[in-house]
Amino acid sequence: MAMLSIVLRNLITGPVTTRYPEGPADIPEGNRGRVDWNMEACTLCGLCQKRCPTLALKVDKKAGTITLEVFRCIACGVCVDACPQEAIGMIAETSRPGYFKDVRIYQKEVTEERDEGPPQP
Amino acid sequence: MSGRSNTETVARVAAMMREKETRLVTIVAADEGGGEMELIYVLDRDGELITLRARGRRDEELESLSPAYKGAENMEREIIDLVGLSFHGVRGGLFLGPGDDPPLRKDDKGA
Amino acid sequence: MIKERDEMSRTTIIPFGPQHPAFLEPLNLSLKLSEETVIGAEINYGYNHRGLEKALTSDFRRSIYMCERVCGICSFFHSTAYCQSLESLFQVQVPERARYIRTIMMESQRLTSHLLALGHTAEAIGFESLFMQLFRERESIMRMVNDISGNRVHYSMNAIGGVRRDISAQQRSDIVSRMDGLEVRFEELAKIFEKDPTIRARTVGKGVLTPEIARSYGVVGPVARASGIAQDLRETYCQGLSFRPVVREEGDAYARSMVRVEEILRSIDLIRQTASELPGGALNIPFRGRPTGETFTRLEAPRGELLYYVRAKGTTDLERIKIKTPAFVNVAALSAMVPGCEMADIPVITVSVDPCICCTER
Repeated sequence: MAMLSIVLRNLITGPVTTRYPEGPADIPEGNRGRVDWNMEACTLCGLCQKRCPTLALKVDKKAGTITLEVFRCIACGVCVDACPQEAIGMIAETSRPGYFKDVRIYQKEVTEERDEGPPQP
Repeated sequence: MSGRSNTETVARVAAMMREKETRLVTIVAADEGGGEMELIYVLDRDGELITLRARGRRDEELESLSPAYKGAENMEREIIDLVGLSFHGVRGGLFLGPGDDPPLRKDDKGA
Repeated sequence: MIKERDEMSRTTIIPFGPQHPAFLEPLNLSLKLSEETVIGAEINYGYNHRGLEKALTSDFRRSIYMCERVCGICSFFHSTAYCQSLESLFQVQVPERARYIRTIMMESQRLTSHLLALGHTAEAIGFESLFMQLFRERESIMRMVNDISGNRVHYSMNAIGGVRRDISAQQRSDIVSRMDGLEVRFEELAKIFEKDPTIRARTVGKGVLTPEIARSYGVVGPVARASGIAQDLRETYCQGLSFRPVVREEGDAYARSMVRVEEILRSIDLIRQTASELPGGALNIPFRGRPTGETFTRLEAPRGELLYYVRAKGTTDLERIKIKTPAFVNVAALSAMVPGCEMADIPVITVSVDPCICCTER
């Protein structure tokens, strides 16, 4: 009988689920989702690479790039905590499936002062 | 019958279980390298952990605790699979297929 | 008369699992049947072995996150046990606040785990609407831990020496109010579990595990406590909080479910206590150097005692790590529970043990 009263109550109250593929997904704020680098703040110190538990990322100081193997990343947030410049953030979204093992590359814009430097000799 | 490197320890574990309510928590097996191994019988008695140790050669057949304590059988089978020891009257093949290399064995370059 | 029937009937062997619609875990039971009655069972493992004990002997700092992935239901217990092992090797005393936050997260995870086990029991019985209600409550806890940690399953909150994320004052009051709401709603569901004739007909007297056999298999957790063995490691861990273990005597599938039902109410109470008494202070303490020595750490995971043995020799890589999970012994006891029951009761009995093959095989 107790179940019947719950069932009847549920008839009056609306559904608790969201119609996800048609409507927007219900992702809570502050969800650890996609890791994102703000390359303007990044100094390419390489601390994120050193701390990453799954070895998902590579920092190339010469080329000024950060390469992230998306499917190795477990979104643990260690790099976010480790970054002294607070250049790494997390975007609350679910990871997408893919046909290939995606790689994301972040390129640091080469600053103008540096541009003038090397090509002299 | 006797003379296996863990015979004495197994007898002590079985005696402790008869004497007072004691639960075998697990058996830890570790390859020490150089053909040596260590077995640690972890027991729980009144909420306290008691450890009994036995050391011996890795390739030697060991005494099984399963006749005295049913719960030990799977633990011993796991050890056969993962560390590659052998227990008298116990077959492996719990997690791995027959003939698979035990992953927790250290290779014997030095010995 | 009985003897005559025995001679007439033939024994059949029916494979149950590893892929079976009524069975969620990759586990195979070879059931020996005489007509409809099960007379014996052999349990076959090995469909999900991942070699984690070998993989975990790598860099000890990185292993926390792999430990968390030993099991998707009791992930936080694994990482806590691992961190506590290394804390004892480094001889680091975890700050009070971190200890309380760990307790809150562990008990929240116990809620999700027990609600999952109860939901699956309801589903195995065929009580779909109760299953839906239990999962609805579970979802609210999942939402709560997601708000705190940023993920539903892998909290990634543990660090050697403490925790990485704090619980804010607002989250604290949110936890308390959620627990109050859950308690009211769950008490209603608990009554259904206790009294509903359908549930009772499918679980009472099924899969009985007597205390003697339970001891001979060394079972732990709710399975042991349902067979009258009063052991709960939380008694020592939750010092300063009022806690006593739930024990029942019957040892059948009904008792195992009822132990979980009552433990959910105890956990709600524990979370409320810890959340309202959360002390201030640091979140974690730094450690230095590399681990040496060996240590045994035990925790009361949702399914029972979880033991980590860690041995290190002063290198970054750990020497040996042994994980003894509660499911490893509890699943084995199934072979003692099923003889005498009917084929149709097998799913209910297996689910009442709360088997976790991820934990069992690692």
